[in-house]
Amino acid sequence: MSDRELDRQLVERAQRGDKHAFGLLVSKYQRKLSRLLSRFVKDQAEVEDVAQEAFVKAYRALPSFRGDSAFYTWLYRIGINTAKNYLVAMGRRAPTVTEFDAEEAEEFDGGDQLRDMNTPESLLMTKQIANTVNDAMEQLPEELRAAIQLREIEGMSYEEIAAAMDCPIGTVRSRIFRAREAIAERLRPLLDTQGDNRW
Amino acid sequence: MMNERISALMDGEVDEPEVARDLVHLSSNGDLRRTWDTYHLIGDTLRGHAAPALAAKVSQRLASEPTVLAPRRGAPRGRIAQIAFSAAAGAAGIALVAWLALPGLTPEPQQVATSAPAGARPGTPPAPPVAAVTPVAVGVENYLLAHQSFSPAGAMQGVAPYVRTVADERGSRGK
Repeated sequence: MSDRELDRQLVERAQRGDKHAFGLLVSKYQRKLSRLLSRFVKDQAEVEDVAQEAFVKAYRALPSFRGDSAFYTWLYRIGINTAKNYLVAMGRRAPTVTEFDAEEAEEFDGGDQLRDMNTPESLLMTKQIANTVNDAMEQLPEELRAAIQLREIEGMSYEEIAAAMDCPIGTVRSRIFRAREAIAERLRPLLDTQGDNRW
Repeated sequence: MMNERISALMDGEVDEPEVARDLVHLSSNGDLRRTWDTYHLIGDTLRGHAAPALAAKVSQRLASEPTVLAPRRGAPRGRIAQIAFSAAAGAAGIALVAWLALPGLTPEPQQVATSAPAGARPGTPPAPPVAAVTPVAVGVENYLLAHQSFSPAGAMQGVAPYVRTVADERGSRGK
């Protein structure tokens, strides 16, 4: 089952009144959308506001989403339009650049830009999370670290990872899960301190 | 559902028939949703996609939003079904036009009256012909024939009324 198909099923659940299903989509795409919006809106607090507004608009517009495009492509367009409207409302010039298409959006990497404009508090949390994840990765057994890197960074399927690591798909599935759980165990105390940022 | 299934689900590595059931469990369990959230945070961080979390704030805003309820979309109709619906609609349209424009297609009163009802009991005398019950005066028929062109339905119905009137006239002359 493809990633797009999973999104489609979540959208259908949300369209039938399951708000938590939409929340799962928010969890999945919140950082990706924020990073894209940071190309239009420079202030990090404003990026958060615009991203929130974009998600709320997307929720309201769910009945009109027919699945002709991927959910993220649709969400991306809503996000860009929300950012432009926000800039116009604030009396600032909306970017005249044409909307960069969804493929460019997928590949957009504005990490350095985002770090520069983070507020001190969010920058600290972001760094703590990154350090925790990196420390946990270093302590993973080699086969677990390789499996999750191939999945999360290289974007390989379980079948491709199984071929690369010369092991059954079931083993790949187990290794990736154990790697995630090991990192999550290290993250949870940190995330619990965020209070209302968790849902 | 165990966390291992969430891990496989977010990677698109769960068989489709099981996905719907897993999503029911996932969306209805707060602990599982947090696991989903944490696993996505790990993936985003490994890819260098660090950004402040918004999910909780969005969730708070959605709580005050009316729940959306979109009508379910059925499976797309096949090409054959579309053609069949179009043909049926076309045939129904033609039949309606024919029925409105050609009153000659509707049974004449005489025909209806002279044919025995399907449910008539044996031995019951047949109903008398309409013409025998309400004889039409020859003078009236001639009047109607002479004023045929003033009939409001004449232009719409073509030659059918004329044919009927002539038939009536011949029938009355034969009496």
